[in-house]
Parts: sequence; structure tokens; C-alpha cells
Amino acid sequence: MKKLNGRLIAAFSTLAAAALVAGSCNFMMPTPNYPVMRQEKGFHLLRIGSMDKVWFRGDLRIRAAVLDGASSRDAVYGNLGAYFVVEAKDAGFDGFLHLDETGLRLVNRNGLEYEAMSMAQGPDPGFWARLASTDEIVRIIDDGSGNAAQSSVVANLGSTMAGTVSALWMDWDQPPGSTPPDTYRAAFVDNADLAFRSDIVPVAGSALADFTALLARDAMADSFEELTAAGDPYWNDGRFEFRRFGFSSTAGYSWFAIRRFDGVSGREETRAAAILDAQPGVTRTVRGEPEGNAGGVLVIRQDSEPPGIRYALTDGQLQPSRTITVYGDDVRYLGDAIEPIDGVPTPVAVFGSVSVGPESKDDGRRVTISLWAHRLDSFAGGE
Amino acid sequence: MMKRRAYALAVAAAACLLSACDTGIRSSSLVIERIVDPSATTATVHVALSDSPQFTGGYKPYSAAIALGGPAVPILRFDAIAWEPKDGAERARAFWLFVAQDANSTGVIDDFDDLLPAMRVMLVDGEETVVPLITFDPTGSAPSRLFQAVLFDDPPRSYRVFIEDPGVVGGLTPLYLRLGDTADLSIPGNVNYDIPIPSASLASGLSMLTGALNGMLWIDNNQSGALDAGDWISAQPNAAPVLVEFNDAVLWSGQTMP
Repeated sequence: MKKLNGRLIAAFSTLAAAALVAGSCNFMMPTPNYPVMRQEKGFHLLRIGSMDKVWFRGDLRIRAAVLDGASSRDAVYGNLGAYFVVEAKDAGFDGFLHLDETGLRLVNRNGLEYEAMSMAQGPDPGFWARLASTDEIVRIIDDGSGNAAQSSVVANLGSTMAGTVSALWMDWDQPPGSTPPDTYRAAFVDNADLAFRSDIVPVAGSALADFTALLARDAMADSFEELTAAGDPYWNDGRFEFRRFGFSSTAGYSWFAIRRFDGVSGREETRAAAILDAQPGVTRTVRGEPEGNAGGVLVIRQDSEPPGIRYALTDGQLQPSRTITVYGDDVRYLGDAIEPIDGVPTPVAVFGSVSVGPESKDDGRRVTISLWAHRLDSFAGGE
Repeated sequence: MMKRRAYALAVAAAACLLSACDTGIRSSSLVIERIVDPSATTATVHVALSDSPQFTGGYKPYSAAIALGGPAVPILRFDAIAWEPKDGAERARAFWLFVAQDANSTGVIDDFDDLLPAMRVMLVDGEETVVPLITFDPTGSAPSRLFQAVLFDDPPRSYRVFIEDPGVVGGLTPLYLRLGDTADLSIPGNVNYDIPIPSASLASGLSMLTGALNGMLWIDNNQSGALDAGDWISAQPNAAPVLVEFNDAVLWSGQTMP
């Protein structure tokens, strides 16, 4: 009897151990079995592309991604393209992934020193990005032979701002079917503070017409809630890092992704900051990382734990209208476009979702990217 | 017997569970007992800790300003430094200590400020790392005892330093970083920098931004204050290697100044 009791206890302990470990932390979290994950109601699958034998270790993350400028606006059925800069441990590639009607392919950087975090959707084929060496915003295209190429210079921002400029971005925003007051806006960060320049059409070699200086940096720095240790200000130039910039031409506001990264604990805090054109002296911030705007709606990533990435949709005052969840090993909001939904050209917000196949020592891994559209009218608090 | 096995399994299960849920946060302390300027200035220096040797960027919460010649002893103490191991079992990790002066008074550490090289320092979970001495000499005569008017566009250079007995490095027997623009750094006029690192806990790695072309390390074993016979050298000073981005220096009793 004693032996039996012992056996029972041993069996129970083993089972309990297995159950406890299985139930703890992320052990046995669901992992994707299909190349494309299903999405919530309201999403429409626009395109899927896959590549085999992609070599990297660990997780694949989207560092930056945008829609192709021309195909997002031409309302031609089925030609929408997108560009993804991805990162992973020991990745055997340097460039971006291009997804279009011919499939998914790797485009080599080809020596172009563009900054991924400055990627923006312009009106023409390709995407905009800043060249660190010249402060130029250039248009970059896939030349069709597996290499990136610089197609044109959109603007030389370095010549339009006095003083030492530490960050520059330029965005274009013309929602489908609209004629906003400004379609181009550039943001500058110098030693003094933050400024914008806006225009309808930029003239090569000239500054954008309208200039707005803002005293927003202190308000942004004071808004951090987790990484609030004062530290010695001499080491914290600017006190935080600007990561992304964009603006809504129709709703009249600019937005920034701002971030603090603690170089010792490895913790980071990212916030969305927005400044209304009508109230340039007021800076609002909320927790999360804005990835872009869909018309007047700001799309803010709130949760980065795959497979469900949660987004808050807000207005320019950062008041939330709703949240949505997009599924994938990683997800990125790409921009707005006109695409056929139920046969009718419809303004949509487009998300890119990455799924990664199992690791194989000899064959690399299979990477699948899918583009998902959500109607813009339902974004603004409808459906 | 079976009961014992059962208990062992239960303990193993608990351990397994704990390791699966280990939040992994470590805590350490760093104490700098003295920062001195041999030229007796009263400059204010700025000290910071980071996990990368990048002087700019990031957010450095463990940082402080110290007026040289002040009365506080220990001069500087960072307690409860919270850090996360890069792998689950790691109990110690290397960080980088920065010491600088806002020489151009812009309110931030930027171009044209004075810097010591970033110095690698190990933090151990639950323990205190002590740095007995840092020398910060912005006014000394040539060769320079720190990097003056640094440009942050200058190329990054770093040394991994291997010392036979790190304990030989101390206040009277510093490790020196010698840099110049020619291979022959045995001639005093060719030496642009001879920067002392007088604490063993800071002598395992150095990182800097500099346009200097050649470099070597040496330890003043005989406490003469100059590179002479018997000192440990990483290379013959008349044949200092060309600096590349990542450099290795080995200092041991088998390679001394003849």
C-alpha cells in the first residue's frame, strides 16, 4: 500500500509539474500553422506573397514598411505594392522586401544609405526615405533586377533649416479623393526645438512655404510615465528619441513617435505625440507607437506581443474611437489606399502581416507577407 | 523510497516552474571612490553608465555630475542598478562607464567636449563593483590625458584588453592608452595621447572616437610615470599597430619594455 501511495504521489507530481510548466508564461502559446493568419471581421485580404529559403535566426520583425506610392492611389484593381524593411538575428540579407502583383522578392540595398525609420509613402512609384549623408529626401524604387535604385531627389531638407539639425522627416498625405491645404510636410529637430514646414508642392532646392516653430520638446519629455528617472541632463541630449513623423492633411495635425530606451535595464517606453495645426502650442501624448494615419485617424500600436497586435485608432487629439487587433508574427500599418472592396474602389487602411515558417537547418525558412485592407469609413468609429 | 522520489520530482517541478517564469531582473551597485584631476582644476565632470559604448543617444538614467575636488566620499554611488541578463542564467554583465566634461558649455555632451575613453565595467548581481580611482586631467601638457574637443563623427575604435593579472593595475601602476599618427610611438613628440586608467575594474575594455592612426597599451609596472624598462607593453612602442575598429591588446609578464 505504501508503495502504491508512493507511485501515485510520484505520478501526480509529474503530471502537476508538466501542467504547471505548460501553464506558465508563454509555454505552448499558439503558433501559426497556416501561412496566413485569419483576421477579425472587417478585414479583406488583398495580396499574399511568399519567399522560401530566407536565412535568419530567431524572430523576424518589421522595422519599417510603407505602401507603394503610385499603386496605392491609382485605383487599378490588384496592383497594390508594399515595401518592408525587416530585421532578425544573423539575417543573411540587407535590403527590403517588395511585395507586388508578381510576388514577394528581396531587393538589395545596393549601397543606398537610406534610413528605414524615415520611410514614407509618396505619390509616385517606390517610397521616400532620408539619406543620412546628404539630408536629402529621395525616392527609392525596386529597379526590377533585385537592386534598390535612387529615382529622384524629392527635397533637400538640409538647406531649408538653419542650425544643427539632428533629425529630418518628410511626409506626403493626400487621402484618396481629397484636395487638402498641404500635401507635403517636413519636420526638423535641432538643438533649439521642433519645427515644421508645409507646402502644396515643393520646389526643388527651395524651402517648403509655411514654417511653424514649436516649443514641444519639453512637453514631450515630461510626458513619459515609466522611464522618468531624471538622470544627468548632460547625457540625455534631447531627452528622448524621435522615431517617426507624419501628418494628417485633412484633419490638420502632426504626429510623432517618441521613445526612451534605458541603456542599462533594456526597458523602453514609446509614446504617440500629436500637435493640432490649430493649437501649435499644445502637445498631447499617449502610450503606444503611432505607425501612420489613415485620413484623419491615427493608428497607434499598443501591444507588440504576437500573434495578436492591438491598435488604438484615435483622432488628432488622441481620443480613441476604437481598437482593432491584427494577427501575425509581426504586423505593421502601411498606409491608406484605394482598393476594390466588393468590386467597388474604396478608401482603405492597409496592414501588412508577416508569418514565418518553422526553422530548418539546411533550407532556411519560408516567409509569407499578406496585405489586409480595412475600410476607412469604418475606422472613424463606424462598423 | 517512492516518497523520496516523489518529493524530488515535486522539487524539480517547482524549480522548472521557477526557471520558466524567471523575470530575470538583476540588481547591482557601482561605487566610484575618487575622481581626481592632477592639475587641480575644479571642473565639473559628468559620469554615466550604459550597456553600449555609444556616448550619445539612448537614455542614461544612471548618470550624475561631480565637481572635482568636492568633499563627498565615496564620491559617487549608483545603487539598485536594475539590468536584465542577455541569457537566462547570466549573473554578471559588462557595461560601459563614461566620464566627460561639457567643455563648450552647451548643456549636453556633444561635439568639442572632453572625454575619457568609455571604460568596460562588470556588474554582478547582488554585488558592488568598486572603482577606486579615475583620473580626469583636462589641462595637462602634451601628450593629452584625455580626448579633448572630440568630434562625434570621428571613427569608433575599441580595445579588448587581456591582462595576465588585472590586479597589477592601480593608482600607482595605471594602464595607459597611447595613441598617435605614426607607428613609432617611442618618440615623445609622436605621442598624441597617453591616457591613464588607474583602476583594474575599468581595464578590460576601452572604446573611443578618434582620428588617431596607431595605438598600443602599456602598464607602468615600475611606477616611474613613464614608459621604460620593465613595463608591460601590448606592442613595441616603435611599431605601434594601425588602429582598426576592433583591436585586441594582451599585456603580460612575458612582453615587457626592453
